[in-house]
Amino acid sequence: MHDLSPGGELLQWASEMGSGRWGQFRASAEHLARKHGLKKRPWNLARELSSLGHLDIDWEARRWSIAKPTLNVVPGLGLCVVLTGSRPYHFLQSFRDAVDDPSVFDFQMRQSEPHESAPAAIFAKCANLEVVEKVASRTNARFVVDPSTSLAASMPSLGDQQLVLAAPPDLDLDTEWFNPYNVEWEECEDRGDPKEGLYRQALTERRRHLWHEADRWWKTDLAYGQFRALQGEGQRVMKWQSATTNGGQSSCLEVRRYVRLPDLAERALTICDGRMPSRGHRSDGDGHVYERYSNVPEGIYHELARRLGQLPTTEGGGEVNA
Amino acid sequence: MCAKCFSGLARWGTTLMDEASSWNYEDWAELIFSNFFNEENAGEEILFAVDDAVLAEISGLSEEGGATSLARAVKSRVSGQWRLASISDTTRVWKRQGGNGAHPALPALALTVLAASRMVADGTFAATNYYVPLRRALDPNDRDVGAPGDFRTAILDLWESVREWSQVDLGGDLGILKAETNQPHFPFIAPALQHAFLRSSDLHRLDAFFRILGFEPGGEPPSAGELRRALGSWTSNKNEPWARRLNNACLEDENNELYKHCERLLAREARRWDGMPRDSRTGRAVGRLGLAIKSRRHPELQFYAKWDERLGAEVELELPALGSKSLQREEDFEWFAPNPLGEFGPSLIDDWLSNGVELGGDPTRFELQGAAAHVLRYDDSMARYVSVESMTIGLPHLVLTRCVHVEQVESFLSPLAEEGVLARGPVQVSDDPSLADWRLVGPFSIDSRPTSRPPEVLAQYLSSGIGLSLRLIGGLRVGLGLRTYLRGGEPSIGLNELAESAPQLYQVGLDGDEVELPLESEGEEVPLWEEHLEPGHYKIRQGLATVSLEIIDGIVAEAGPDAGSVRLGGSIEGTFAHGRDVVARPWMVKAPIGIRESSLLGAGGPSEYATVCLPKWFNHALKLVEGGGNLDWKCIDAWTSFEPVWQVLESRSGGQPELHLLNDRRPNAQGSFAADTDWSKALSKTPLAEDAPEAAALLLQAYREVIEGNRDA
Repeated sequence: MHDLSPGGELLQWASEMGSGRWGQFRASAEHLARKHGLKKRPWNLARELSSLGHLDIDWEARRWSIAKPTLNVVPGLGLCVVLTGSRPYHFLQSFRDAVDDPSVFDFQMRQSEPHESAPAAIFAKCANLEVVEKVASRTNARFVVDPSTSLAASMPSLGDQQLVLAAPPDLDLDTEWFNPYNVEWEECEDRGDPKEGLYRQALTERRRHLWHEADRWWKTDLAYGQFRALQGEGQRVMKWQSATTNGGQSSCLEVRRYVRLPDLAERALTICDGRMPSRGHRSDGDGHVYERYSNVPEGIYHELARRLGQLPTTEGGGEVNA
Repeated sequence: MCAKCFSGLARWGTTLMDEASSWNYEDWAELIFSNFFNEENAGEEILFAVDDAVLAEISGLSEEGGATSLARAVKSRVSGQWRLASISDTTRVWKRQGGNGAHPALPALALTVLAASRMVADGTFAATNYYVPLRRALDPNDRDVGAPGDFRTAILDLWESVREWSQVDLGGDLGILKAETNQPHFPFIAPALQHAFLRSSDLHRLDAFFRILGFEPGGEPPSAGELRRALGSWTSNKNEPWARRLNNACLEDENNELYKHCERLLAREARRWDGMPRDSRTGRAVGRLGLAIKSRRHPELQFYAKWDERLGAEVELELPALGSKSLQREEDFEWFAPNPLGEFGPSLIDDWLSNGVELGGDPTRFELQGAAAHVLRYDDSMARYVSVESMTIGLPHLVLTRCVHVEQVESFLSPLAEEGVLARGPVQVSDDPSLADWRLVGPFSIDSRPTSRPPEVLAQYLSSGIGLSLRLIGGLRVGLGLRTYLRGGEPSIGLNELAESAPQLYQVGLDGDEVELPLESEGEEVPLWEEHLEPGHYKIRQGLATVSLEIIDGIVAEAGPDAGSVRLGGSIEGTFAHGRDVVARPWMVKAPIGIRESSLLGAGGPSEYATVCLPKWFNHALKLVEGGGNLDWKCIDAWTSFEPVWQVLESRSGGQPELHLLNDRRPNAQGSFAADTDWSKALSKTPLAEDAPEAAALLLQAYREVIEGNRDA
């Protein structure tokens, strides 16, 4: 069960450490990027661990902590519980012992492109809920039922966002404006009156984002900034598709690439099948690339879309190309 | 005049300077005591590097004035005949009276070190050369040669007396002033030479040296010998006076054995190095000046005074052409206001960038190290790019450097930085002729540590594999130790370019026995993870240097300390939402057979109808990703809001749907409902499973009666 992916090794290290400062995490991520020949920024590796529900990061305080080991019972996976959180070596040994049972079948799935660096998903197919509880008890892991619903319900809405006033930025400093119509970033070259909307500046390790409206500037989160801009333009960037009745195709939610979901939304969606989203084009040929999350219940999609100012658009059929 | 008064008063006003020039022997003893002995030096050897510049600094006089004042004071005790015995006598009386305050020998010893510093400046070491400057330090008109007066009979005892006082009587609490007094060569001048072969200011250069060495503040330093050899190598191709002195100090000369003293100094400096500048004489914090740039398009070079936790909240600083300025720390920010410090002319800025600057201040001076290149990083709180001591992987940086270095900087950074970021080309920072030669390169971020050596101008900002010491680089460190790594997270070995031999790897057994293991060591760095080592203790040797490490599988049982301490939105830990109501659990039902879905029916009528199917897509995904594995189910989870009572399943034999009883619950459908609902049709038309008990048939009949009754209604 030793996960040799860069993310797997990073997860093992973070599990042993338990918590720490961002500088320590960055150094370890940099080492693994070097070891695996990976051209990926440390905070991107951290984001993958966070999206998968293993790690929580406070970017303001620049601190992180690993979540305690958790067995997640997820609707639609046939009682294949997903293991998230801490995975130190000794825990994985005890997990292996705990699932060495005729009523449990454990397996793991590597992440597919473009997230192949992320830790493999670990599952344990259990005969019933009592077996799940037994495994959780043997490993001292937490036991959570339908985490998506709680995570989606906990996610702040667009209207809940507390914007913090900021000084007007120097637009000379590598600044870009988010075009919600094209869903693209455009460089700010001119010094004229800046357009209203979302801006970003690549001055620090992670870009900083600002919202401009009515001659004032506010600090904002990238995800909420984008969805605020998209809402203003009436742009729909999320599409949900139901499952086929024979179970051959799961339900899925597609989100336009380059649109960032809030951390809790990301986590609520990845836990639906325990894996990072895949990437592809839609078969109706709109030309856009989408991040595709599998096994997303319609209720979760509605909850997230409502909170992000995206009116729900559902489709009952049509094939989706991988 | 008390000792504490000296350090503050010595700087201010001509009236006080007149006073200082007439200080007596005791005044100088207290002045030297207060400036060289303090708690920052506790337990450490003091570098008693007295030269003309230091005397000027501590007295507030000119270089000539300081030395003259000291000489006058010493002469008042030893006379022109050099009777050091009088100081020995004074010392005995002072001890009998309790030995409080400064040791009486300090000014005399300071004069001997001053003479040695002047001899070192001339570049030749010889007893015959020493006594001439010694005599003339006391009396410029002294034309005699040879050891003066009772110098040879008294001097070593005076050094020993001071050592005993500082180390034993004071317990080393304010530092230890000692010198080897049993040197076979130049025995009477060796103690002075040991403190004069380097200047305090020379030790400032060690900051850059430690960075290039790859040594981390607070980390385990290389051995003293390795430090000396590395320093000798680093200074070997530099021509500045400080580099010459440091290089000479590192040479293994059997005649003066100063290299051993150099090793002790280097070891001391490495131990106390925290990455921040310190006054090597007093050990006190030295403030740092920072360079700030507004933006790439409009640089507007400025300077500011940095705050750190070693400094207080208020300082006084002497600014050129602006006089004394009082600075206060901006609350929660790491700088002093006013920020910027002031407007400075382009030629001054150019000089400071190249040669550095030291601004006098109270309680401490502030300095900026001159360099061929300055690296800057964006500071959010100041909204400026500010100068930094080292580059951080993953963060955007600018490099400010002269034209002549731009090409080598760009060609080094291009392979490391994100594609295209350097395509914009360097920017001239100012139209003024004095600054026209300076260029801004970047901003760029580098994602990983370089494998090739950086150019000299960037070496102190960015460590690479090969360097001046054998060390471990990177790795996944765990636990409390500095050298414990996870299996698979082993570090790289950074090789020592000074060593001619290749590195060797040894496994250390429980009994301490070492077994050599094969080690591939081509290139400047050796990635240990490629050796796939088992958990255990290991040593790597290269030449005389050794580093040790331990490899383990893991430490903790479930999670490391403070797991779960960071929570998104205050309540989310991983996938668990603290404080949220528990979500209803699924029901377990029979797994559908074949590819069809299965219906579930509750007791409450048509609203209690749902379907469930096997997640075959998940099976497909598993096969696609892992190339194997076949999931099958006997039971499946059903996430219904009602408790399923009946389940429609295909029969095992013929594929016809059958009704199976899951829970014995009587119907409780309230009100009327449409006749042809899925719920009604399933219950009315689906035959009971062949193996169903009789009670199931009776219960089904009850459901059908409810349906019929509703239809009639």
